[in-house]
Amino acid sequence: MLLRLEHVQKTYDTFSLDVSMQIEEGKISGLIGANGAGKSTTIKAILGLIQTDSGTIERFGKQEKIISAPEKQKIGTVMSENTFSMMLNVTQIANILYNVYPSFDKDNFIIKCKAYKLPLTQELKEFSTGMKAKLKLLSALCHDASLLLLDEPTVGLDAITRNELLNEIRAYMQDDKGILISSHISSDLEGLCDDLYFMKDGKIVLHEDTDLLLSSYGILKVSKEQYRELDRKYILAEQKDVFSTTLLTNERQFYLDNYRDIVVEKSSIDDVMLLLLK
Amino acid sequence: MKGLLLKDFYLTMQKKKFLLIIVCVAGFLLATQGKAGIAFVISYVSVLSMELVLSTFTADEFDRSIVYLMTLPVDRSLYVTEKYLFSFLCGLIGWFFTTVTCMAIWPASIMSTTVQSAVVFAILVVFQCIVLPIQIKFGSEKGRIALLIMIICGVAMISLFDRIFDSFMPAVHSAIDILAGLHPAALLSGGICLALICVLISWSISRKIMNRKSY
Repeated sequence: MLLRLEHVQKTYDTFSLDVSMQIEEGKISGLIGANGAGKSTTIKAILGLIQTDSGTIERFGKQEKIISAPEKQKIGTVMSENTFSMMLNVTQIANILYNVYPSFDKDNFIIKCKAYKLPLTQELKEFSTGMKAKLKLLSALCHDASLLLLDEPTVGLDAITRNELLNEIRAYMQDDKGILISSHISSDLEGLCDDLYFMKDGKIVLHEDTDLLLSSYGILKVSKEQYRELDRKYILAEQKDVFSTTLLTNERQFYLDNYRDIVVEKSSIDDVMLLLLK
Repeated sequence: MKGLLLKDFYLTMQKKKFLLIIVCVAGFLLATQGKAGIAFVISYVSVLSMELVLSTFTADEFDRSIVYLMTLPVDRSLYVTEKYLFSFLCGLIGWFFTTVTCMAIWPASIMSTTVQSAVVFAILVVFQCIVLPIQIKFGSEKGRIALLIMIICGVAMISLFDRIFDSFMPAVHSAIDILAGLHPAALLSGGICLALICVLISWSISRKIMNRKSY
């Protein structure tokens, strides 16, 4: 087990976090939720950037309150809004990372930066959003980290750049490594993640394997009469409007078999997100 | 540590114009004031070199790159230690070159210049021991205000003591006279000891402040 969080709690004036999750070797886990759901706060708690009120965080089998430098060496991080100072350039960053991470592959980093057409001597403040995102990800990938914590690595990017970065993440994945990737773009996670954590108001409201979610979950659209007669034991969430009700189920086949007159559709991650996290 | 020092070195090199101005002003002062200006020029260059660390705090806070720095395999104590080391290294480089320049221009006064500049440096280290925890606690912008308030309060307290106790300023003057009358070696070793104690206390306060911070 690379990472285990047990009721990690942090309370602010208007927000409180209470998260339990685990990241295993060989798996890519997605953390999905609306803006302000607590995804970044969770990643900050894992990295020791905030002091939690209670709960336990176990990193690489060790349960310690303060994250140590050797543990951080095994973690590659992308923070959604933060990177190196904008006054530095890629060559300088490579030199810094080389002196910070014992296993940093400087040559490979420079080769990849060149491959992604990142100017080596230009200050980061001159970089586009896409260029910064590429640099952040490459910085996280080039020191042989066992665990990647990627906080919104594709936010603000066009489809082509997003796809390039997602391919980099896929290529990095091996049996002894694990990835936690947070996003509110469900399509990014659908084709990448083995399991998904849905987060709402600082809490995990659903944890499910992606394959199971796409195969067994479904959307039901029912009238008021149908709703009254419906067995709702497999209903996870519902959304009512004037004439009908949309329901989310984790047993689509049950309703297909027992309610022939009801519209039952396959659900996408977006559907689950809309119904569960609204 | 080396990576952080390298980062701060790169950030400081962005201030080439500022560094050039320090050198030009120091040269101008030495040319116009001669031997009498040695102590002032040494303290001027040393203090500005030491304060170069403040611009690295600003750069770390600007667009919150400190958050990313804290994700690197660098613990908070190491970050604090690096800032102290960088500040004193910069100050030492500035102090060394100014002292050597003064010695080269006025070789007859080597002994007095060395002792004078070393005492000045020790006093600056003590001053920096107050500046750094304030910077770490309040950040670069608020830190400047906090430092200004602290200096004003210090001056106000001295002025108040002077008014309340008639013997306050004479006592201060006599203490300075006693110090000036000490053997240079005793003065120097006393200054170094005082500076080291202050660094140790200041560093441990800064560490505690840093460890309590959330990002």
